[in-house]
Formats: sequence, structure tokens, C-alpha cells
Amino acid sequence: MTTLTNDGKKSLPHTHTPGNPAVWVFVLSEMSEFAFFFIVFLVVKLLHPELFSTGPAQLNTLAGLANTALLITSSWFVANAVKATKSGHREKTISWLALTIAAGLLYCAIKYLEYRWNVDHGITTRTNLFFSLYYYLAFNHLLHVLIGICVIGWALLQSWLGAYDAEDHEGLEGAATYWHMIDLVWILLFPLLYIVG
Amino acid sequence: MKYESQKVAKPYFIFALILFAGQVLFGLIMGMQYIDGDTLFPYIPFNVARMVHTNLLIVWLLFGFMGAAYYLIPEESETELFCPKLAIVMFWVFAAAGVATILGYLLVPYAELARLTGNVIWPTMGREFLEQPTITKLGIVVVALAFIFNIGMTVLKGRKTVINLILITGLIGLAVFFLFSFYNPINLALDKFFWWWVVHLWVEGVWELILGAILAFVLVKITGVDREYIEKWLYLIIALTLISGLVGMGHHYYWIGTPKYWLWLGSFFSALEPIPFFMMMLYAFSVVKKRRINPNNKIATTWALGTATMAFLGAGVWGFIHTLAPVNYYTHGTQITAAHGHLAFFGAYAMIVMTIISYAMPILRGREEGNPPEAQKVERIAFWLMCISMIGITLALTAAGVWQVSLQRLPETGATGFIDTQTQINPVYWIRLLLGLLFTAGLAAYLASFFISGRTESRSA
Amino acid sequence: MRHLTQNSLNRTWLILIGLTLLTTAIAESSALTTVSVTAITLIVIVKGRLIIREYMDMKSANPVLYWALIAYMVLFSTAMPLSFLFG
Ligand code: HEM
Ligand code: HEM
Repeated sequence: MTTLTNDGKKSLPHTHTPGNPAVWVFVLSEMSEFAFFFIVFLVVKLLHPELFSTGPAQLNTLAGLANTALLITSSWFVANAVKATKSGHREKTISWLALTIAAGLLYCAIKYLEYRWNVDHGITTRTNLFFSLYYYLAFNHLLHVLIGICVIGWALLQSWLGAYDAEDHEGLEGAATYWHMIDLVWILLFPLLYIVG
Repeated sequence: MKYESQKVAKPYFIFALILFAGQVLFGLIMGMQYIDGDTLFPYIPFNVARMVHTNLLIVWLLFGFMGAAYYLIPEESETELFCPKLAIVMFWVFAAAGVATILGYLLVPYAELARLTGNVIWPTMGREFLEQPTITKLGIVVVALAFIFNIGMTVLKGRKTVINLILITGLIGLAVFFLFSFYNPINLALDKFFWWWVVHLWVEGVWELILGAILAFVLVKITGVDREYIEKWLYLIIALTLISGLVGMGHHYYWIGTPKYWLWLGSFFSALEPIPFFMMMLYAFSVVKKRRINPNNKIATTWALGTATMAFLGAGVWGFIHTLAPVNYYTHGTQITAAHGHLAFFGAYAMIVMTIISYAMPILRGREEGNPPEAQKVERIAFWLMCISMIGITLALTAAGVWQVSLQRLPETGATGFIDTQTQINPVYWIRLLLGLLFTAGLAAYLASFFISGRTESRSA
Repeated sequence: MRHLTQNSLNRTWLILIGLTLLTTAIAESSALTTVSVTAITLIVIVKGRLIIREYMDMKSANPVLYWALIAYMVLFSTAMPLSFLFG
């Protein structure tokens, strides 16, 4: 049995992957789940092109646009939070994370308004296959935003308790990675649902 | 090995692996029957093969858990096992009862088996996973009681740690919930309701405690990380498991005639169930990263991390996929369920048993330093073969499930019937069978790795 | 404005918002054509790449993960024009 001299890390020069393996298994599983939905979406589209060419125009593009802007901005907030921690500013980290959560909540509020708008315009989960898929995908994404809010909330709490410092902030990076993943998926979803179909 | 009585674990582990091989053999038979229903007709009908496949699974896992408990309880409690003889006697009782039951399944028609074993007196047979004749079930209770008595007394006289207390809580829970298999109401809704008290409260409840405890034990041993750190995580995981898992049972109550509120309760709480599995993976990686020792038994670490990861994928991800009521409405009882069942059972419970075997068996065989590198290399190949092929099987079944849902469940009118659907999906079942063969190759390599002695052994000894 | 754009996070934010507006403008200005759908696809890829490199800070990360993320964005965004052409 050999005792390690350092803490067992294999550190290659100049490579740094944010987060840790567990976070990445999680993030990649989530992306696979969305990949699966994208594939279903495309297959159904090939089978029913007419629904998909008329569908997106009936949705509220403004809501989609607003949420895209919000998510991009929230990603910017999170990136700033990580940056603040890296330079040792705990207070700033907390503010950036709080802003992220606020953006996430605003996203949910817009989703709520959008769903109400849909109902007023006669769009429901059963209107046609395009809208069923739109609801499945968008609602699933909403669920992930909710999970993301909890994850960022956790990171905020940890920051507040002083768990992270300039060197050691793996948990915060993990949370940030998760949040960016939500943003990436939305960037694909926005044109898919609201514009091209 | 610190305590002589830990040796009783050895026959349990060996027999578990023999039964595992049997389970996979019957899996392959069914894999063929899915393609050609007449395979092995009339000797082994599908329903019998299925029963043997799943019952062997449960029984080998129980052997594995018992072996694990006999190994780790003395070490954790820092005292010899209360009564090693009892453990050996119970091994033979359980093994004999198990073999007799499987032979019963294979040699006589099920109805005849029910008649022979007096099922009319106390009917408990005929339900999935709980097909055992009533006398076998009674035998299981006797074995479980003797087992719990034995390790309970050991813990009582020795040191109490978080790990051994959680393990024994899990094992008592296992025995207690099994008692519901004796309750078999005529009302089908009630029957199903309580059937899940065994099946769900086992795999998504008390077995997770057993899983957590065994994993924690192995991690303490192979990383040298402070117990306090590991225990903190264990508490959190167990708390989350119980909070989410107990009410999460509602995801099995959607369509069996229970009140509507289960749709909400089940969806909400079971959606939380992946969290403890995620935490388990998070902490396994973080403990290994913090490790202070680097034992020669490297493959045990691979198994430990692999278990945490595959359990998360099988239970967490594949469980979540179909757990929300609006999704489950379409996917209930399709191949998606089978996909999840395979990855979850393999990733969580089959792999945790192989983890403890990988850690403990070399020590039980007098190789305190772990198996020789040659053997570990073969075991590593086996690890990857089994993991990759099982993920492959899962993906194939998921594809089959999606296809099935789209043909048989989604169309509001003119849906394809069950058998016609299965016929159309046939190509995917070929893929599943091939991956099953790959899995079998992995299992064969795994079993072979036990017989590799290696030249370096004599040098290091 | 100058100090705002010196910081790469801020600059990235401005570009991302600009690209999002551009996507919407393309979509709202006229009926979709192969050209406009292709443009939208390219914009998605650029946006994804920016987020991955600048916000997720994957520039110096494990290359397998980095390329997996990029490939994901490329794959699913190009499915869009393809399904537009052949759908
Ligand atoms: C290691 C833990 C787990 C194991 C071994 C396991 C195993 C199984 C098995 C064998 C079945 C099929 C039961 C039957 O024959 O009807 C099943 C069903 C199911 N499991 Fe799990 N499971 C685990 C964890 C989870 C988790 C964490 C979730 C939720 C997040 C979940 C969600 C479900 C659902 C919704 C069903 C019902 C499928 C249907 O409607 O057909 N499972 N599970
Ligand atoms: C060689 C590989 C295997 C093959 C070809 C195979 C095949 C099958 C088949 C055909 C079924 C019946 C599904 C049905 O009723 O339609 C089944 C059920 C099952 N198998 Fe396997 N199996 C294999 C290995 C395993 C392994 C390694 C495990 C776990 C460690 C496992 C766990 C299960 C479980 C839990 C069920 C019941 C699932 C449910 O109720 O939904 N199998 N298997």
C-alpha cells in the first residue's frame, strides 16, 4: 500500500474542467434527455410537416424572445459569480447568484403568462402534435429551470456560509455548469419552437 | 481480515455469483424467446423463464447482502460475529430452499407447484417477484430472522458506528416489508397496493440504506478518508431517500384504482428520488478525490465509483424519465419499464454486491493486498464489458419502448395491438440479444478473474 | 461603453443579446427561406460556442467534454435546416 504525497489529484498543466465528474454525469444525462426529445420532435416533424410549418407562428414569439434574453443574462450573472469567487469577493458572489435566481424566477413568471396567453388563443397540449411537443419540451425545460434555481440557491447558501474560496469552489462551478446547460438547451429550443419549427 | 468469523461471508459471495450466472442464462433464453416465441417450448415457457430470471436476481442479491453484512459487521463492530455456526447453517438452509424452489419452477407446472405446496391453505403465490411457494416464503423469513438476530447481537455487543447502524436498519426494514408478501387480499387494487410495499419499499427504500452503508464501508477502507466526512454524507443521503422514497411510492399508484391525489403525490415526491442517487455519486467521487491511501486493490475503487454512477443513471435518470404521471400514462408497463428495471437493478444492487466482493473476496482468500494485477486487469475488462453492454441493453429497450408507445399507446384511434407491435419491434430485440451475449462475455471474464493467481503474488507475499 | 466591452463576460453578453435580436429580426422580417434558416442555424452555433467558451469557461477544459458540448450544439442546430429542407 502506498501513501500518496499529494491529495491524489492528477493535475495536468493548464487544464481545468469546471465542476467534478459527478456533475458532468448529471449534466450529460440531462442533455441526453433533451437530445431524446429533440429527436422525437424532428421525427414527428418529418411525419407531419404541415403542423410544424404553421405551428411556430401561432406561438408568442415575444415570450420566447424575452426568455432567451433572460436566460442569456442569467448565464452572464452566474459567470460573474464564479469570477467574483475566483478573485475572492464573497459578497459580490452572493449578489450575482441572487440575481441569477431572480432571472430564473422571472423566466417562470413569463412562462406562466405565456401559458395563459396560449389558453386565450386556444392553444392547449391537445391542439395538435406540434403543440403537444412544444408543451412537453417547454415544460420539461421549465422543470429544469426550477431545479436550477434550487441548485443555485444551494450554491448561494454555501457561499454565504463561506464554503468557497478563491482556490476551492468546485461546488459553485458545478452549479454554474448546470445553469449554463439549461441556457444551452434553450438556445436550441428557441428557434426550434418559436421560429423554424 | 481482522476477525476470523468474517470468513462466513465467503460461501455467501460464491453462491451469489453462481446464481447470478444462472439469472443471466435465463435472461438469454428470454432474449431468444422474444424473437422466436417457441424457443425451448415446451420445456421452458417464457413465464417460467421470467420467474426464474427475476427470482434468481432477488435471491442472489440477498445472498450478496448477507455476505456483505457478515463481512463488514464484525469489522465495524470490532468483535467476532455472535454465532458463526448459525450463519453457516442458515447458508445451507437458504441455498437448499432456493435451489429446491427453482427446481420446482422448472420441473413442475406452476399450478401443480401451488397445489403441491398447499397454496390453498395460505395463498401467496402468483405475483411478480413474489412467486415463491408459501413455504419458501416462510423459509426466507426464518433465514432472515436468524440472520438479523446474528448480526444484531454482534452490533449490540460491539462498537456502534453509523455504517453498521444504517446497515442493520436497512436489513430489518427488508425483513419487515417482506412480511407484506404474506398478505394477499382478493381485491386486486388492495393486492397491488400492498405488493408495492414489498417491491418499491425494498428497492427505493430500505435497500438504498443497505447500498449506502456498504458503499460507505468500502469507501472508508479504500480511501482512508475520515469516517466523519463520509458519515455526514450518509446521513444526508438516507434522509433524502426516506423523504422522497416513501411517498414516492405513489408513482406506482397512478392506475391501480387508488384515489386521484396519488397522481400528484407520486409525481412530486418521486421526482425528488433521483436527488439522493445524485448525492451518492457526488460524494463517491469527492471521497475518492480526497483519498489518503492508494491501495493495490485498484479495481475495488472502480467498482465503487461505477456503482454510484450506474445507480444514478439507472434509478435516477431512467427512473425519472417515466415517473411523472402524464408520461407514465403512456409508458406504463412498456419496454421503457424493462429498460429502467435492468439498469437500476444492475447499476445499484448487482454492482454494489460486486463492489463489496471485489474489496472483500481477495482478503477472504488471504490476499490482503488485493488480487494480482493480472487478475485485476481481467476484472477491469469485465467491469467495462458488463457496464457498457448493460447501458446498451437499456438504450435498446428504451428505443423499443418509445417505438412501442408510438404504435400502441399514442394513437387515439387505430392503435396497433400488443402482439403486432412486438412483431414490428423485433429488430431491436435482436440488438438486445447481441448485447446480452456481450454482457454474458463480461460476466464470464469476471468469473474467470477469480481463477487468475498471477505470478506477482508470491513475490509480494 | 469602452470599459463595458473590455471585460470579456460583458462583451459576450452584448454579442449574445445582439444575436438573439438578429434571429428574431430575420424571422419576423419575411417568410423563412433556406438562406434565413441557415443563418439562424449558424447564429445558434455561434451563441452556443460563446457560452461554452466564455461563460462555462471550457476553453481549457477536458477536450472530450468541450467537443462533446460543441458537437451537441452543431448536431441539433443543423438538424433544423435539414428538416426545413426535407420536411
Ligand atoms: C435502485 C433503485 C430502483 C430499482 C432497482 C428499480 C426497479 C424497478 C423495477 C424492476 C420496476 C418494474 C416493476 C414492475 O415489474 O412493474 C420499476 C418500476 C418503476 N420505477 Fe423503479 N427502480 C428503482 C428506482 C426508481 C426511482 C428512483 C424512480 C423514480 C425517479 C423509479 C421509477 C419507477 C417507475 C415510475 C416505475 C413504474 C413503471 C411503469 O409504470 O411501468 N424507480 N422500477
Ligand atoms: C444477458 C442479459 C439479460 C437479458 C437478455 C435479459 C432479458 C430479460 C427479459 C426478456 C425480461 C422480461 C421482460 C418482460 O417481461 O417483457 C427480463 C426481466 C428482468 N430482468 Fe433481465 N435480462 C438480462 C440480464 C439482467 C440483469 C443482469 C439484471 C439485473 C441485474 C436483470 C434484471 C431484470 C429485471 C429486474 C427484470 C424484471 C423487469 C420488469 O419487471 O420490468 N436482467 N430480462
